[in-house]
Amino acid sequence: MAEYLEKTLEDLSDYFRSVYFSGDFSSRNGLVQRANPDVALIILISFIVLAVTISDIYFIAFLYLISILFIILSGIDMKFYLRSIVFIPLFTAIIALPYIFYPFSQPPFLYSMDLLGFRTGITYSGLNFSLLLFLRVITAVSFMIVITYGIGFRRLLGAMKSLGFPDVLINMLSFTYRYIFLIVSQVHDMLLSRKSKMCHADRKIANRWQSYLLGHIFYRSHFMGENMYYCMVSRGYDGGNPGMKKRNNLTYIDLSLIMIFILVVTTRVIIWW
Amino acid sequence: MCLYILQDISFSYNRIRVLEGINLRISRGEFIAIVGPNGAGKSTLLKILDFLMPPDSGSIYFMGKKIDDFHLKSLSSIRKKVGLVFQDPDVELFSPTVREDLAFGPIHMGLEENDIDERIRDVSRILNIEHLLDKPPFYLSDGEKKKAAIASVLTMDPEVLMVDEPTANLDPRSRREIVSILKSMWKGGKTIIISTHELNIINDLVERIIIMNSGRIVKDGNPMEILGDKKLLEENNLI
Repeated sequence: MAEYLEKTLEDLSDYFRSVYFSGDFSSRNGLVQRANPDVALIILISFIVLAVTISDIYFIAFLYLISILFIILSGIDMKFYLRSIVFIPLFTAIIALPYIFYPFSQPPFLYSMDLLGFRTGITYSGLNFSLLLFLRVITAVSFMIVITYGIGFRRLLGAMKSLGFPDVLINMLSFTYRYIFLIVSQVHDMLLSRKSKMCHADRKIANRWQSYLLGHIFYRSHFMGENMYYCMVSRGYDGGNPGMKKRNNLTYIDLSLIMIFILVVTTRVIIWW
Repeated sequence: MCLYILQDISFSYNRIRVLEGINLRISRGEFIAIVGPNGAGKSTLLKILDFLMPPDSGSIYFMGKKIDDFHLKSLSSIRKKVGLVFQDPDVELFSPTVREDLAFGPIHMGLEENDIDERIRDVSRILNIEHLLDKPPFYLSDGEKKKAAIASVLTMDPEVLMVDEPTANLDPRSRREIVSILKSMWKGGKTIIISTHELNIINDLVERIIIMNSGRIVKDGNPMEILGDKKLLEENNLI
């Protein structure tokens, strides 16, 4: 259990470190980076809305390819993308797996067999539903990666502000973003310090230590949260989210993003007709 | 001109009295060190001077005006004049890159992007951290973090710069650099207030020392008078 907790925290720490480094991608000279963040956010969210509302597997697969195209054109490293996304389709596949089979989904069967006198097998509707869920999730997540890593977190918050998202939501996101890495790295340091003092593994001691750790995390998070808030207030934070004042004129990049979206929707409408 | 007047200030944390009967006058252009052992109330006093926490009792005057409304919006004009660098740079540097941390204050002051860029450029040149601007703060050394934390406050160009434990956990070279930065800021006309328990750095640096212990001001005087009083320093765990 202690090892599991340790491994989870290490992975979390690595993950948040990589999220912090998203600044590296967002400062590249890619398609999404060069676009007006307001336009990029609207277009990318619209793609996500399309992916989760339309039930055409081929069309969603097409949207997924578009998301990959955005990832390539935004200079987001493919290895990084695959590392970020790998568990999501895996978990979705696990969730969707039972629906492939009868009685969780209804016949006609694609393949059937007798199991202890009970007829079961893979159904067309189950397969269709599972594939649809899987594609929807992976497409939505891919576009989310383009949003967070392509637009970049600071520009994203600025775009949310200018698009009229509520301040409370923007503040919550920015606080979480700033704060979570610090607390995870502190917990990681605490784990390392424990490791350096552990001479032998005693389950009882390890369990007791975990409860101490959890208590200490709550205390530390409260203490750090308070101090970080004071730091922000000291530097002029008053509950608002002013964002950097910048003129955001539409460029040909923004127009091409809008054109891509219109083309995709038009293609869908023509196929539907 | 008198910047601060504190009259009989008291403050408690969770019913534990941290400051008791603080009376203090601070003039423009002074370089003050608040010294005292751990838990003396130095950091709390700096937070009170930065108007982050309202005192339980007593009055604070800043630039001749009594401050009794501690709401965030009411204090926005004062925030531009006072800057506090916290003891732990990890809580001070909360953005993905040092550049964004340096921009945080000026953005909240409502400056234009060009002005913000200019301030970042100037401050990072003065503090010699230009090469750190695009790095994530957690990859910096303690000395670099401290300099970045100071820079994040200096981009607001405050009249009063307060630094909590400026040289804590730093190697000798970083310590010298921080001391030299503080000295040059003071010579540039800023009022500097630092809190520390390291007497060796303040000897040639400050012109006034305030000794605190158990939430009270024990002694307020010039460095020669205070640092020469071994009995006073021993009584207050400073040597």
